[in-house]
Amino acid sequence: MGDYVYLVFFLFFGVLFPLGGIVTERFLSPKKPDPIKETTYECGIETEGTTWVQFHTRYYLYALVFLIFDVEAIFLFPWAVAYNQLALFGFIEMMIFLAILLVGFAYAWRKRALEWR
Amino acid sequence: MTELGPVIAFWVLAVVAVVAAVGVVGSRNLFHSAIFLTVVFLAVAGLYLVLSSDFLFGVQIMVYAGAIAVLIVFAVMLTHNIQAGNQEGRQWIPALGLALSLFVVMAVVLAAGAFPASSTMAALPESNTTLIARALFNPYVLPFEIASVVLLVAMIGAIVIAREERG
Repeated sequence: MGDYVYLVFFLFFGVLFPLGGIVTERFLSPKKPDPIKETTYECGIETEGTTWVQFHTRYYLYALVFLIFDVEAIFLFPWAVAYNQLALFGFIEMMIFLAILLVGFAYAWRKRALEWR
Repeated sequence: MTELGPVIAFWVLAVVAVVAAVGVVGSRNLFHSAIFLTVVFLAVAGLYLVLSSDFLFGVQIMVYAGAIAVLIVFAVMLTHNIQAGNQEGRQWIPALGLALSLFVVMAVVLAAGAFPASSTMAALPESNTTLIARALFNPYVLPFEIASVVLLVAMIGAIVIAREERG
């Protein structure tokens, strides 16, 4: 349990740091708004159109493929942690696991699912 | 000290999870709902850590707070006419009924159920993740390898369904 104290520590200061910046700014900064200061800009260029646009469906495929690779990666964690205890058998098992998944990767590559068209 | 820490952590995380869950349902803006949902995922991950299930904590962070949250945000961005926000409707009535009945069932089961494991698992001899690895790579080899086939099918299915036909 002792290690998690560090996690709580980092979490606490990780939240405090940005929050502290925003709150301090509220109190310290002078407020003299004028129309030019309040214009919307992005890197100095005026924005065009609204922010709420419908994004292209193409992005969704990337999210789906990412999710599947993510679940695959999960299985690598216990394998890596207990690698020394698993001997050769565990290594062969993981290679079979990865070989099967490589078929999926090859399929995605072949079908140009990873390319941006 | 050893007893108080997890209890405080549990209550903080539980309150954060419930407040964020109310935010998911109550928010008019779908994007805010998605962000609240990510907070719920993170708080639940913290609860797993309180239960000293560090592997499940990692899975929850990576898969739920990572991939599922991205998937939901993408789904929201792909929605047509998103700036209209949540639409008014009568569906909250059956939803409320369903949620209440689920709550009652779970409350009854939790109140009546016994948890024999909670007294025996007080001190695990080694890390949770190592135990899972040994179970996964010895008695449960076949389910583990079948999982890779299931993932392969999911991947091919996702590509077939989501890919646009080339013109």
